[in-house]
Amino acid sequence: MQETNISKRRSRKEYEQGFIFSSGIFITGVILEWITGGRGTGLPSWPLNVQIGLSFIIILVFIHIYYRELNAVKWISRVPAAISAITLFSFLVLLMGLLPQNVSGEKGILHFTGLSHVRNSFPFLLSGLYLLSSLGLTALRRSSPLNLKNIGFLLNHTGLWIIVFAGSLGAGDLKRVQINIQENETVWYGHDANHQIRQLPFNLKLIDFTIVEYNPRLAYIKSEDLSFPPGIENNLLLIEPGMKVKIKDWSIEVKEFLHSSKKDSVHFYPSSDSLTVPSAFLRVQNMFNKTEKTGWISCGNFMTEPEFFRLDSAYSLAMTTPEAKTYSSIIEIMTKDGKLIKHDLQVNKPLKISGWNLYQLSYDESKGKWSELSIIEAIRDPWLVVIYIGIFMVLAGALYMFWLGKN
Amino acid sequence: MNNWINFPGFAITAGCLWLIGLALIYAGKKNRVIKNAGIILAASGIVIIVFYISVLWIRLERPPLRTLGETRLWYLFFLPVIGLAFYLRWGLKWFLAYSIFMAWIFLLINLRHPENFDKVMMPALQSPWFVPHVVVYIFGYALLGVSTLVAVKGLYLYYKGSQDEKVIKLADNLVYFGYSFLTLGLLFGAFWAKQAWGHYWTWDPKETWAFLTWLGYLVYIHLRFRHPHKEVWALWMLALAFVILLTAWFGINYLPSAENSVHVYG
Repeated sequence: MQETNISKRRSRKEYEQGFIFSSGIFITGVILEWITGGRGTGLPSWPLNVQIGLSFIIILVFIHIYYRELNAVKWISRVPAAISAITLFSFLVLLMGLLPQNVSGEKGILHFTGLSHVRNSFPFLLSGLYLLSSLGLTALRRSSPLNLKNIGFLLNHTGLWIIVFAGSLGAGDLKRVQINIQENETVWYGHDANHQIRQLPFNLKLIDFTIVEYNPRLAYIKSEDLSFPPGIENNLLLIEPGMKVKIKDWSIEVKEFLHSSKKDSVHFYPSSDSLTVPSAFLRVQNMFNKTEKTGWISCGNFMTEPEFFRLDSAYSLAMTTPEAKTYSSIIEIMTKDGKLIKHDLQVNKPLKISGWNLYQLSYDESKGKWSELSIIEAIRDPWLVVIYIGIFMVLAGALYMFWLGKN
Repeated sequence: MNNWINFPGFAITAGCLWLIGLALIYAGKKNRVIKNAGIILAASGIVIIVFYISVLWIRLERPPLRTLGETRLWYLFFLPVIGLAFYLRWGLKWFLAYSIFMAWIFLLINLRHPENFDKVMMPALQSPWFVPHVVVYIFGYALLGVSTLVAVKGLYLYYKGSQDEKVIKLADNLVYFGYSFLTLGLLFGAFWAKQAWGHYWTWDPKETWAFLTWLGYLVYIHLRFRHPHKEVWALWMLALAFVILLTAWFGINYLPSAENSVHVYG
């Protein structure tokens, strides 16, 4: 009985110590941020990040081997310290989730305490170090003796440690280059987030950029400001030829739908020229007085005005600009060693080339399917393999946990 | 035109089958035939929902996982499945009743707001990761949602002065299963993000809140591991973690920090 009381008291004390320590770390971080004028911590890149990382690992292992019996070291690898580290980390992530981050021009208290840019701030850096120390020393302690019972524990803890460690240190080596390229143009550079030109180790030529679009939508709008009145049933359905739909007091039938059309003085007619627009011929009946009228709607494009169908003094029918279903770029790449590759680059399907990944990012959205500009992103992340090792360890740990449950 | 193919018909049939099945399970205490009939009825309610989701999937020409209304539909499926599975495994009738009650709440919300007619799916969502990412998450959320009900029951019992060891054991099991799904969902999301946006983690507000949720349950697991007898702490933590989960699930649609999130959906 006495023993339980002692252990209860010890455990409460450990939690108190944990939360005092966490608060201390937070306050120290805020002071450091304030002293440095709220500029944040910056991201170390190769080779500095590797040097920092290796030193950190060596220090942890050194502490584990020579000072593992020290009370402070025992304390940091127990649950109360772990919970205080997770709580501080969660608190900062919570602030990140509540406060808008990286808004330019912010110079108030949030800027000087680092809370307007949490993930590059001193409080976050110190909190991460605390978490990694606690997690690292715990995993080291559990790793000897190594046996089957510890496997799930080690996979989860070491995997998470690797993800946080490599994710933070690797961020400085991540290169992200945006390439804006016109059809038939060849480029060998792009620009980074700070609009600096960055050269690439290959040439890139855009042969063709294509978009497949969904049908446009039928919209019931206020004529005055072209806004959608809220809560209207059946508003914004995709237009299909022959479709019949009831919106408010109107029964609407799509008599004809043209994907690609041009307008003469009154009518739209099918056309395969350039800069055509989608259009639809509607028959609309008022459900109360049974009056009927017909007319065209079209969403137009960046060169052509849209066409509306006036229902009454306040409301009209309109066609929305079609949304993209898929878009892709046919590109030709010449690498430094003279390899020539032709590839159809699609969203969600990056291409690996000379240590870079190429992504289909966007296009000139104001021109829609007439865009001749493709926006491609090239990303190089040498730490990815390390992160994936961590992710697979945690995945395996999660499956192990699922398999076992809590007995 | 509306792809919401007679949802009320399907949903109410399934919902009634669950209720009748549940009533028979309660009624058939000693009579195995009645009890089994109840189980079969409850299971056929699930089959109807599966059928409905399949037809909807085909009609929409995309997985019905995009809008909040569509995710609610999946809860309609998962909650009774979890309830029935736990009933068959551990004989927990009240647990089945809870899950069916929860499923009915989702059912009623969806009768009012189906949010389900739109075939459009933006290119970034068209990925083989889409279905596993969302389904695993929904399943995890459903398990954790039920664990919250268990926590509420545990707290109620505690403050009433009676304690039941079985309650916290059940909460533990649900959290362990739910948490492994949460982890899978988070990591599948990371793989997908790498393919679609070039980076596995961008601190998008949804990611931030999903990560917070993950940390919340992490604290619960550590508390249970280190202090198996401090059940009340753990149960309160479980209730708090669910509040974070709810924020991650739909609260962020209203947060100022989430205006530009790729995860904000109607």
